[in-house]
Amino acid sequence: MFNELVREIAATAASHVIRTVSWIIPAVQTLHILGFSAVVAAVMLVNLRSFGVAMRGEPRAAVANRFLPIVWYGVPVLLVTGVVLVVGEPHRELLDPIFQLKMALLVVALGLTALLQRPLRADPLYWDHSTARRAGAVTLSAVSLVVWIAIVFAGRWIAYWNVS
Amino acid sequence: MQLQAFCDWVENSAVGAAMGQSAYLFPLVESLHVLAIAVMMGTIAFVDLRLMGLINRDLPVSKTLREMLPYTIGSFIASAITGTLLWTSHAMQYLQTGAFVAKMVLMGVAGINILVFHGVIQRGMAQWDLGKVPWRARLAGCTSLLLWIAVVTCGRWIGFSSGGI
Repeated sequence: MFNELVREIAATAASHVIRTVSWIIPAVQTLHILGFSAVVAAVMLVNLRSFGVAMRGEPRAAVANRFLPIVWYGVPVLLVTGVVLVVGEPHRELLDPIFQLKMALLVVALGLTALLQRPLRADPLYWDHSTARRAGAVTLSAVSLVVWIAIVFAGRWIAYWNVS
Repeated sequence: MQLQAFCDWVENSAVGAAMGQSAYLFPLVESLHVLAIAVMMGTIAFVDLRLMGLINRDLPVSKTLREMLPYTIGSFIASAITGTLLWTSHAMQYLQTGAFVAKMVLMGVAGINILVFHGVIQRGMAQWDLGKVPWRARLAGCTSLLLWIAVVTCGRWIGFSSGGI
């Protein structure tokens, strides 16, 4: 299924341009790095707030409102720059198990981030009402942090896995 | 020539040889380098954009600095250590790569900008902690953001230079 898609993408004019103009891929990768820097730092601060490490003076909801919009605006930027890279080198990404893992992890990470943020809209103190809730927030944040870090790792390993 | 001898020594040291020869060590250290850069670049951007008055205007500048600086410094140290390890794999070749040299020079300039900000501009911060940030501080924030973006750009270009190191 992917093989057919890869051939079709690779045959497009856009793919040809991205592949042959030497500065496009590093430039788009640089934008991708700048974008995920903002997202990773924002996620890190929100998750560390759950552990009581970062931004301790501010309520959870305030920290989430401050930094999570960066995630929701940043991810589309990452998708656009990511799509350019996929179009340029479809075989390198779509057929790579590490890339597929990265996309799966991204869905999980966004789900976990939404799960942490969503209850705060109706009730800013949602995660503070009981010990169980607090433990829930800590667990969600810990898993989220690990998954986001795994995404960064997977992104870099695409370059090394199965280079063809 | 002394430089060549030094680089040979670095590359042939236990660390340099391991970084250059192991199939998984370089990508592993590089992933950590990228992760550290993400935290550093992100927290630097949050401070710079706050100084420019573009985000978190309700959060005092002093508090923004206090909250972000530990992560910026920690991740800078991690970036420097992992970056040095990556360099040991092909020490001389990196020094002959334009993007690598440009990255080091730009980091030096960014360092001077940091010293000027913390040494001179930051002194009057109490007056503009929540109000309008003076142009000198805005300029320092803007300069910092542009310089670090240039550093990241040069960093990515190293991987595409001289036939890929």
